[in-house]
Amino acid sequence: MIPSKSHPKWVPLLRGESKLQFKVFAGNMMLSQCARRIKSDPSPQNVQACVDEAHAFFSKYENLYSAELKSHF
Amino acid sequence: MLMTRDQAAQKIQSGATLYLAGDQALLDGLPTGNWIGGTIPYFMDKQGGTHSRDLIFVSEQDPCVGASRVRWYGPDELPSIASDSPDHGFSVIILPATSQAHVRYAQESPDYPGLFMKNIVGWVSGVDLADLGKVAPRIYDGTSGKSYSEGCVALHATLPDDKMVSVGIVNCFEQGDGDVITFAQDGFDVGQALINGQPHDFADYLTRNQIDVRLPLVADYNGEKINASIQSVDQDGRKVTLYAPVFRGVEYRIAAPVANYVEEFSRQLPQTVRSPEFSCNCILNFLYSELEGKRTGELIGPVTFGEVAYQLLNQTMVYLQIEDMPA
Repeated sequence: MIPSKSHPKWVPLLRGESKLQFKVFAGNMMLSQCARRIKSDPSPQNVQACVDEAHAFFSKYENLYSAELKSHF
Repeated sequence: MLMTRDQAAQKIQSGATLYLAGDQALLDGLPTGNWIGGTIPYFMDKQGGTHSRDLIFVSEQDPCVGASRVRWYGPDELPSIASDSPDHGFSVIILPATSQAHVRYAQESPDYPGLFMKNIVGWVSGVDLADLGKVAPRIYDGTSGKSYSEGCVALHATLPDDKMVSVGIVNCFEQGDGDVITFAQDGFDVGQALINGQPHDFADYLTRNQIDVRLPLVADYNGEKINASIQSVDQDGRKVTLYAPVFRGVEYRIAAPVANYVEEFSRQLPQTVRSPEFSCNCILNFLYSELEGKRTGELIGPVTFGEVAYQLLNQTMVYLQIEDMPA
């Protein structure tokens, strides 16, 4: 189960402030792109958009990422 | 595998869905069918790195693929590649080197909505190095019989529910322990760079420090090493031209040298990768590491002027493998 969007650890993860490296390439690229987008536009709306996108990504590919996310959250 | 033109034509006429790479003289006039292709006469085959203008590299689509469709995208339509890519499947795309589409995909794809939700791989078509500047790279939509020097051709493939896709890269380059290099703007062409935060003429910096320009700039994307390779250094023009854009704010370092590419490649290649649906490797690796005649195992395919794993990459091997969904 992917942590809910309201979990407080999402934002630091997507900002790149907390570190979680995945075995799967796409997850690392997605996280890196979120961090770059938030650095460029740190507005609450953009941060929420990145949380929404990341949550949708990890939900779709839960079987690939759930163990690593569980260890982080 | 490498085939003659006649053999490739027979394969097309058998109804197979194919990914083709070869010289323009061979691809032109192939029969229509279920295929996409791009020009390049360099390949990694099971016998090793090969340069041939007489053979076509033919990859056949895995029969487990449910349905495929091919579409050509103009440079303004590239963002639709991600939205058109199947929710459960993958897309293989080909872009002609130095085209508008190549440049725009490189610069804009990281921001395409939903890019990482889909599985998108591909390559940048090129030409024989003896023909650089004389002949334009081309891409082919085999379903229509049309070829293009602009835009992007994509094959979108849907998979059954019991299959999944694994997309990965093998990049033998790590960040060296030299200066941190950042750029104030995105782009393929660089004038000024910030070296450890201080502005410098980048062409002058590379020359003065005798940087081996066969080594790429390497960025760290949450643990993934992503390259931007150096194409040319123009000291008089105060310009460095790259094979992939750098992005504002991303920290780069010049790569550490790799003593033995084939050895390092074999060490890094995941053991689970066997007979992938797609793979390609960079022409710069072929040239600088002298891969002609050397083998890279099961990872065979065109040797390209750029690689795509979601976004454009350089000096990297990309693969896409179809696997069974875990129980």
